[in-house]
Amino acid sequence: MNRITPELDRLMWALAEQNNPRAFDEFEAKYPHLVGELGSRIAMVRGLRGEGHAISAPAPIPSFRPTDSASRTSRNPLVLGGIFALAGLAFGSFYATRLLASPAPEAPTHTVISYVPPVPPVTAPKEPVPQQNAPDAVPTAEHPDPAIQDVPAYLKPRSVKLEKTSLVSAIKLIAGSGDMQVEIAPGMPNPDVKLVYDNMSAVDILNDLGRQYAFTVFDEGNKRLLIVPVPDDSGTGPKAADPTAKAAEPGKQAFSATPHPSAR
Amino acid sequence: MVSAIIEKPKQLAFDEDIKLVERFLAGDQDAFEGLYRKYYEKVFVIARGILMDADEAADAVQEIFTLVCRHLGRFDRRSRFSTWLFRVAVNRSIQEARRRKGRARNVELTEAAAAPAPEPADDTDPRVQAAMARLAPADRALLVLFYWDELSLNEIGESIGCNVNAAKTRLYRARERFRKLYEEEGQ
Repeated sequence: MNRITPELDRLMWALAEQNNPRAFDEFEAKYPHLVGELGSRIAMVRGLRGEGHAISAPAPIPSFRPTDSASRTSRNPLVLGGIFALAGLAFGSFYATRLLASPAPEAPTHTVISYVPPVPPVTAPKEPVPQQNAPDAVPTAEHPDPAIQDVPAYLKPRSVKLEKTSLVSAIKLIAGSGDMQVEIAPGMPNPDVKLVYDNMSAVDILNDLGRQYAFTVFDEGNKRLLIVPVPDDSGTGPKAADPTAKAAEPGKQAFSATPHPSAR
Repeated sequence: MVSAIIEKPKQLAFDEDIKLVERFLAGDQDAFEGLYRKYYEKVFVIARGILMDADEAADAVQEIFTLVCRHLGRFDRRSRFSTWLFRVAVNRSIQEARRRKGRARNVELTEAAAAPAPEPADDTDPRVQAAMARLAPADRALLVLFYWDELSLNEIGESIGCNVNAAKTRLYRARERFRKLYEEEGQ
């Protein structure tokens, strides 16, 4: 069987649709083996056209009567329900993704910051004290020393216990507990930390953290601190220090307090 | 010059349609009646060819003109009113044919067997009817616009929302599918 080329195919359709006897004769002379094929196409086109011509519109033309069904959209209740269900799914999926993708809250899982009752300085006795009198020398929380009670919040000794907390959050918490505002410079590392400090002031804790995590605490005055992620090269400990440095504080020497052995 | 003369009647019809549209939009209800009467037969042929049923086609024509009446304000006048109307007619008829096909699936076989077979007209080819009935409604629409309503490829393109080349390609494919079915009916 001869394969009909696209050009011949187009030519035969054109001949079938034009119904030109002369063109048909020429085609027959040139492609006698395709006469049957052309004939079937002519019959098909004639049949198609005849079908169209046989259709007659109602006569006389009925008067125009607007229908209510035309206003009926293709959105039947099932489709509408599907649209709402899809929208609900998309909404739910969006919120679920947002919830899962959002970073864990920075709040520590376990935070304890408590003030330690102030301990007044104990003067060494010139004479040995009998063992049984020792407990009486230790002050209790019920009888705090009024002088130490006046110490600013950032110098008050406190116990701090933080777990699974980011460093920045810890700094902010500790500074906040000392009634200080803290500003952290860009580039500050922010690893998770676990801290346990006993009986240390907020300033001492921050300075000790600075030594551990290579940052320096600068005092900007007015109880404002600036944390810069650069280690303190002076070797003498923190540059920071007293947030109210302009006014001499009696407890200033506490700034250079060494970290508690339990600090990690 | 020759083409200008040939195009003139179409241009006149185009202008007349636009005038009727403007009058209707200005509140003249008779103007719409004029459009309805002028295009009823063409729209009926489209609906009849796609739906393959005269009664359903008559109902569809009323729906089509109702839609046109309600949304005539959306007609942007960049195309002819006739092709915009045919586009509505084709889309609505295809939509109705698909809906009917969905309904037909639910009809029990016993009912279908009991239904009388449609009687073909005397001067029509039953093979054409059978092949047309097996075609997809979108293919039927193309053949109807070209062979029954005798629209040009350009008009068909505007009526089905594509350019003239796409219309030509789609028509060719629809005709090939029809031919295959037509030949199957002859065996």
